[in-house]
Amino acid sequence: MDREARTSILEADPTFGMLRDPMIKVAHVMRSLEYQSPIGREIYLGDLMSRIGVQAMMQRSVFGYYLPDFQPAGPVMAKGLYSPASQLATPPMLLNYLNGLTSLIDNGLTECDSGFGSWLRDSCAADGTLNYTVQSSAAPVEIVDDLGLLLAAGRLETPTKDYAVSQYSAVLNSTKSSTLALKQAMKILITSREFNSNSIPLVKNSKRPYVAPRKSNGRRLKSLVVVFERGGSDSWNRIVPLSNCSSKDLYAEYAAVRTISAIAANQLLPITVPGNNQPCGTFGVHPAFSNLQSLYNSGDAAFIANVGSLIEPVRGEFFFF
Amino acid sequence: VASFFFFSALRKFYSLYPFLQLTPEEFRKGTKRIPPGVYAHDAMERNGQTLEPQDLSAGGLLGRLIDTLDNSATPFKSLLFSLNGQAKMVLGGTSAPEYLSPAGVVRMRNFDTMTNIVGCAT
Repeated sequence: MDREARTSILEADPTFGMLRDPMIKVAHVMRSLEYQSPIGREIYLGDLMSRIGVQAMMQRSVFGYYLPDFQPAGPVMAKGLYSPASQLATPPMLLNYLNGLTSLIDNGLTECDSGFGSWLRDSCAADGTLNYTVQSSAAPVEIVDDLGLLLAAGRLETPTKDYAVSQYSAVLNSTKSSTLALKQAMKILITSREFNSNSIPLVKNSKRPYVAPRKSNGRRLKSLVVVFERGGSDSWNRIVPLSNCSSKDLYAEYAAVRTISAIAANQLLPITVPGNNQPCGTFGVHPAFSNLQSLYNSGDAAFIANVGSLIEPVRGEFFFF
Repeated sequence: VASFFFFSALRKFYSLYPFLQLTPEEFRKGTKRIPPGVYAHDAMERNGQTLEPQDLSAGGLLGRLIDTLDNSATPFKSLLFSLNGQAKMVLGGTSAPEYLSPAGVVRMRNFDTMTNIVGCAT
C-alpha cells in the first residue's frame, strides 16, 4: 500500500476507523495466541450466530451480518457517518462475546462455561487451547508490550497498558502463577478499546449521564407487540376475496389474474366480515395461516391491506402544502 | 362505478392517485414517480420500519412512538424492548431500547473480576 495509506496519522482522524467485526476478533485471538488442538482437530465453533451475531455462512441477507448504512445514535449519526459493526453492539451480544473469549482463555475451546466450542462434544474437555507463553524471566511490561503488539498492533494507550501491567503483577504476586497472570493480561487486552476498534480511542473522563426512569402515573399496563416479518410476502395470497362481493365475482377476477398462483377457493380458510363496508362479506385466508384465522375470529387480529411506501412525506413537519 | 370523487380538502391525496398505478413500461422508462427504494428489499424493509422513505436517517417508528408517549402532556412510563437487536424500528428515540436475547438472560461470566476489567479497560 502507499505510504500515505499506511500512515498512523490516519488513526487520529475522528472520521477514520471502525469497530471490529466480532468474528474477526475471535479469529484474531485464536491465531495470535497460538490456538492448537493437541490431536489436530479441525476448529469447530458452536452457535455464534445467536450469540455474537456472526457465523460463517450464516448471514441474514445479501448485505451480510449488519447493514452497511447502520448509524448508531450519538456522535456518529450526528456527523453523518456510518458504523456497520455497531449494529451488533447490544448488551447480550457484548456479554456473549466477552464470555466466549474469556472462557477460551481460561478453559480452551469448549462449549462449557459459556465457551464458543461445539455442542456436539459429550464432555467439557477442550478441543484445543491457546498456547501462547512468555518467558518466566520477562518483566510484566515486556509481556504486556508483546500482547499489545499481537492483539492491538502495538497501539496500546498508556492507561490500558498501565492497567494490564498492574493486574499482571497483582495476580502474579497473589497466586505465584505466571500462567494465571498472563490470562488476566489477555482478558484485559481483549476487553480494551484498542483491540475492539482500529482507530485511536478517545477517552472521556466522565461517565455517561444517568437517565432516571420516568415515574408511573398509576395507569394500567399496556403492551404493544410488533412482529416485523423480514423478506417478501405474497400479500395477495394471504387474504383473498372469496364470496358475497355484491354483484361482482371478485374471486373469479383474482383467479383470472393470478392464474397458476391462485389458491383454490375450497382451500382458503374463510373469515366473515361484519357490516357492509368491505368489498366482500367473506374473505379467504391462506391455508397456512390457520392461526391467523383463529385470531381474527376471536377478535384478536385485523388485516390492513395495500400498505406501502408513498412518494411524498407522511409526517406533518415535513409536509408542505 | 367507474368514477369516484375525492373530498375537496384532500387535494394532495388526489394528486397522488395517478401514481398508485404503475405499468412495467412506465417503470422501465422512468416516466412516473415512484416511492424511494421501491423494489429494493433492504430499502423497503427500512422504509417499513420508519415510514419515512424520503429520509434515510429517519428514526424508527417505535423509537419515535416512545418519545411521543414520554413527552405527552401526561407522560407515560414507557419502555421499549427489542428481541431483534438494533432493528431500525426501535431506534431513533431519545432513550435506548432494552435489548433482550431470544435465548434468555445472558449472565456475565466471572462477574466479580470481569466487571472491574470492563470498568477499567474500556
